[in-house]
This record gives sequence, C-alpha cells and structure tokens, in this order.
Amino acid sequence: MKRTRIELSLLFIGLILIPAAAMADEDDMTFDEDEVDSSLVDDAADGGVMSSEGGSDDILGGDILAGLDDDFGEEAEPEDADGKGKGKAKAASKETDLVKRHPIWAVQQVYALRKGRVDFQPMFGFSLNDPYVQHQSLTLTADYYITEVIGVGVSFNWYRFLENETDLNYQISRATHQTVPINSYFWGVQANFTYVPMYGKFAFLKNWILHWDVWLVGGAGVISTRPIPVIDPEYRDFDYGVKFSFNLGIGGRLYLTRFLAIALELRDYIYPEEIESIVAYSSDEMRSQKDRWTDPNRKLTNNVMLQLGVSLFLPFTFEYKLPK
Amino acid sequence: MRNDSNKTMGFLARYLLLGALFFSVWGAAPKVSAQEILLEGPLAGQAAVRKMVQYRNLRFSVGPQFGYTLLNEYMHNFMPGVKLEFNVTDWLGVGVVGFYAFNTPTSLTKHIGKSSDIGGSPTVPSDSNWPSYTGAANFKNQVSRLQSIVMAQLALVPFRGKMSIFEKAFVGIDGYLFVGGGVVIFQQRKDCTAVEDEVRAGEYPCGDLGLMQGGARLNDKKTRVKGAPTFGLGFTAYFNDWIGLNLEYRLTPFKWNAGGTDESGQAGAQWVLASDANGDLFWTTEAGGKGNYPDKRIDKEDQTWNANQSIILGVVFNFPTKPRISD
Repeated sequence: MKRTRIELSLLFIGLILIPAAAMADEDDMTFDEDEVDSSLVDDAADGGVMSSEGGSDDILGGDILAGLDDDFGEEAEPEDADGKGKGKAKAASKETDLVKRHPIWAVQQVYALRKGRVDFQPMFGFSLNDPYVQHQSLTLTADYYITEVIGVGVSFNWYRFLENETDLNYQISRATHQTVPINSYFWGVQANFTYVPMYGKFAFLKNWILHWDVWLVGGAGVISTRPIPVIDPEYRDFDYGVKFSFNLGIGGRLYLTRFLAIALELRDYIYPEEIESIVAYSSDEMRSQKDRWTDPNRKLTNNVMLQLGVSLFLPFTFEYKLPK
Repeated sequence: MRNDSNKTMGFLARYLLLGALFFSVWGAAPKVSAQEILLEGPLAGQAAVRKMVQYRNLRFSVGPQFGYTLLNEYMHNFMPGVKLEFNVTDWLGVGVVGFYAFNTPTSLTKHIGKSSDIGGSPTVPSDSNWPSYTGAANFKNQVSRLQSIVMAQLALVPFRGKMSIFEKAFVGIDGYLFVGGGVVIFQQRKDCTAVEDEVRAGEYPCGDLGLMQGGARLNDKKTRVKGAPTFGLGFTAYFNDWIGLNLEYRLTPFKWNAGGTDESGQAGAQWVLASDANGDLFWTTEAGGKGNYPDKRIDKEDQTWNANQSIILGVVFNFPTKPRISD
C-alpha cells in the first residue's frame, strides 16, 4: 500500500515537473570491461541464483526514496554490555553493512528492463515539414514489450484546434497573388511495431550515470483530415475524411527512474492527401459543384512530427535474475 | 526490525525529501545519493571511472561533414563541409567548421515558377505586387540563396559513455554542446525601390514594370556577408581508437529576405479572390490592416529571422591515432 502511494506520488510529480538530470543513477561504474570484481562474482556463484527487485531495497541505481528506507528504517544497534573484542567485530559488521548497502556487481544490471511491461507515452508533437500550417498534436502511445527489444502497440493523435497558419502562406499570397492549398488534421490512430536496437549510458560530468535507449517504430493506421478552403472559400466547404496512413519513426528515451523516462520521437506519417483544386470558376453554378472543389489526384503527403513527452513503464518494478 | 516511531520517521522523511528533491537545485539532492557510494561505500575516495579511453584529450580531430537545412521555404541547401577541432581536454575543444551550400528549389518555388494566368501565360507582376513579385519566369532568381557558412566554435563534452547496437556491437560515444560565431555568406536581391522619385543612397531602381510584364529577365542579386552566432548539440560514436561518426543539430540564426519580397507591414489579413459586377475574378486584400505595406521598396525592412536549422552528419579522424587512457 505504501509502495503504491509512493509510486503514485512519483508518477504525479514526475509527470508534472520532471527534473531531468537530477534522477540519475547513483551507481558509479567503470567502462573498462576487464575490471571485474572476482570476489563478488564468486559470492554470487556460491549463493546460487540471486534475484533483486529493480527499484526496491538496493540503492544501486534504484529509487532514491527506496534507498532512504534503509537509511531511516534501520533500528540503531543495541549497545553491547561487553566492550572487549568489539573493535574487529564492529569493523567487520560495518564492512558487511557497507557491502549490503552498496553492492558492486561484476556485471552491471541493465537499468530498466522492458520485457513484459507496458510503455505509456503521452507526448506533445509539432510538424517539422509543413511551411504553411503548423500542426500540433497530443499523442498517447501504449506499447507492450514482448521481448527486451520488440514491442507492439497502438497510438492515438489529436490535432484539432491545435494548428496555426504560418506567415509564409500569408506572405506568398500577398506577394505572388497565388494561394497554396492547405489542409487541417483532426485525429489519427495507428498500430505500431517497435524495435529497440540501441541501448547505452552516459556519464554526465563524470558523476552521474544516465541510461538511454533508441527505438525504431513503424506501423499503419488511419488519419482524418480535410482541405482548408483558400482558393474559393465563399463556396467551398470540406468535411473531414478518413485516409489510410502508415508511419515510420525513430525515438529515444533518457531514463530518470526505472519506470520513467523523457522521450523524444521523430515520426513520419504518410498518407494520400486530398488537395483543394487550384482551378477557380467564374459562374456560380460551377463554383457550387462539389466535384470541382478538389484535385482529382491525391497527393502523397509526409507529415513529419517531432514529439516530446514521457515514457512511463508499468508495472513500475521488475525482477532481475542474475546468472549462476 | 523497525518500530513504529522509525516507520513514522521514514514515512515523513520520504515526503519531506520528495519535496526537497523537486524544488531544490537539481544537482544538490541527487548529488547526495549519487555520491553516497563514493563517500562511504567500498569505493569511497575513488574516481568515478577508471581506465577510461580519452578519445578527445589533447587530440586533433578533422573530417568531412555533410549538412542539410531544415524547414526550407524557397531553396533546399545541401552543404558539404569540413570540421577541424583541437581538444584541450576530454571535455573541452575549440575548432572551426565550414560549409558550402548547393541550392535546389523547393516545391513552392517550382510551383510559383510554373504558375500561369487564365490565358495560360506565365504570371507577371502588377501594380499591386511590384516590386515584391518579379514574375513566374524570374521567381527562382529573386529568392535568396545560402552560399556558405564559416564558424569558430567551442565544444563542451559533458556526456561520455557507450552504447550497444543490436546487442552485438559496442561503441564509445560522447555528447557535446557547442557555441560559437562566424559568418554566413548568401546571395540576396539588391536593395531597390519602385518609387522613382525616392531613390535612397545604396538603392537602385527595381526596374521597369512594363518590361517585367513583357517577360523581361531580372538578375539583380548581391552577395552579402553577415555575422551570425551558432550553437547546437551533437553526438560522436567512436568505432575504433581514431575514427568516429558524428551527428549534429545546429542553429545559425541570421536575418535575411528569403523570398526577395516586400514584407514591410501588413495589408489586410489575406489576399482573397473576389468577383466584380461582371463576374470576373480578381485578387484583393481584405479590408483593414496596418503597417506601411506595400512601401514599394526591397530593403532591410523586409528581412526576417531565419533560424537556419540544419542536421549534420560527418566523419572525424583523431590524431594522434592512439588515445590516452586515464588512471
């Protein structure tokens, strides 16, 4: 119950404030793969399979608050009435405590495992390649990781009321007396396949360790769009229509905790767009004919969106099994 | 085994420190936790990293770069270049970078260049948009073209790590921020005026509207050199001791008149298609508006900011070829 409360608090505050560099892994490690603490490997071998809860009692890269459990929760050791011979025993006990509280793994654990967890990504996006209309979106993605590197999921984008016509469209029409057809987006839904080919870590200013990964995503779905009448707005009026779309993208995560990361994704949504016809007519009858309002040829459009948000993994914790 | 008072203390301490974590300076609270293992653990007093390969420390890096500008309005810019840097330490470097731009028209520029009137002839300027528009046949020549960028910069490398690719290959990687300044060289339409009685110093007459309506060609661009800052961030992956691949996102903001058009002020919200009593269509601006558009001049009042964002991919060769190793 307390764990749930703490995790909910972390979720709420992490989503609102997100202190980026603060929640770094406090684990200090060497990058030299040859440097192995053989004594600890032997200990692990003697003890059989060890398992540890990611983010629970070990403070090695775990939750800062969970680590405080050990600091504040332990009872003070009772005083021993017999003061003789306690020096060595105390030193040994202290060393044991230190090793327990700061275990050093010969082979470091992956900071945040993905297998069997659902990754929720609420994101805010904006278009990168439309010089006439700045499209913005609210996106929610849910991916389930079947393995450590492969995930499947769905994403939903909301665009309506979040777009702005740019100055360029206005300047072009003013200078050249020509108007470029523009479009408005409403929503989109996609099924996605995600692959995580890269995983890495940075030492930040040689003090903190930051874990990150990069994913590739692709999928298919639908998008709802319509032309904005600019050629003949007096007569033309368009309804939103659903078009088939597919998407490709690349993204990256910077882990703040074992379940929360900052996420940045670049995704290209490709679909056949309906374009307003640039042919204008003089007679009212022809202007009011709906079949003359759009270009008969659909235009394959790339809607490149840069999306920034958070990556929230559920369940918050995972079990990491060490080899014998 | 905990007693109730310790549980309460732990509970309260959790929330007190939670608040302190998020509202204090970022480095303070986590530094306590991050440094704990160095303060009292088995690694107390030891360096954070041992035997680190110092890919940058006291090495020159040089190599070809290739850039492409983003959000291009009238011209795509493909920029081959070169980067030369000396790294004073593993986290600080100074260097220069230079690019030469090859320009190709965007679909907007091509669309305007192919525009035709009702009679099928290429569109030409009129009283309402001269000298802002020089005609379909000239539009590709009137827009500005980026020619080259030369920058000196300082690079800070706060991130140093490694990554695995496809769980098979492992490479060292660093992340850097850079800031600097230099010059941007570009071609832009000459300052000119269509108000024949008011030719200011440094201005030229824009040309004869009648000749332009007859399809005359215009080639009145001037090469300009402007100072500009540059900044951004990048990553370098090291595949062996001396060869790496870098990826950068760079901004080099400066002011220019990208379209070679008259942009001073506003005249209504939009050009719209209207019809007269005979039913003929014509372009007009909506009523209202402010500013002094059109002022019938092409001058520095028409320049707007260009962030000049670019993505750059390059190869870096580091010399000497053997890097230093830390203690």
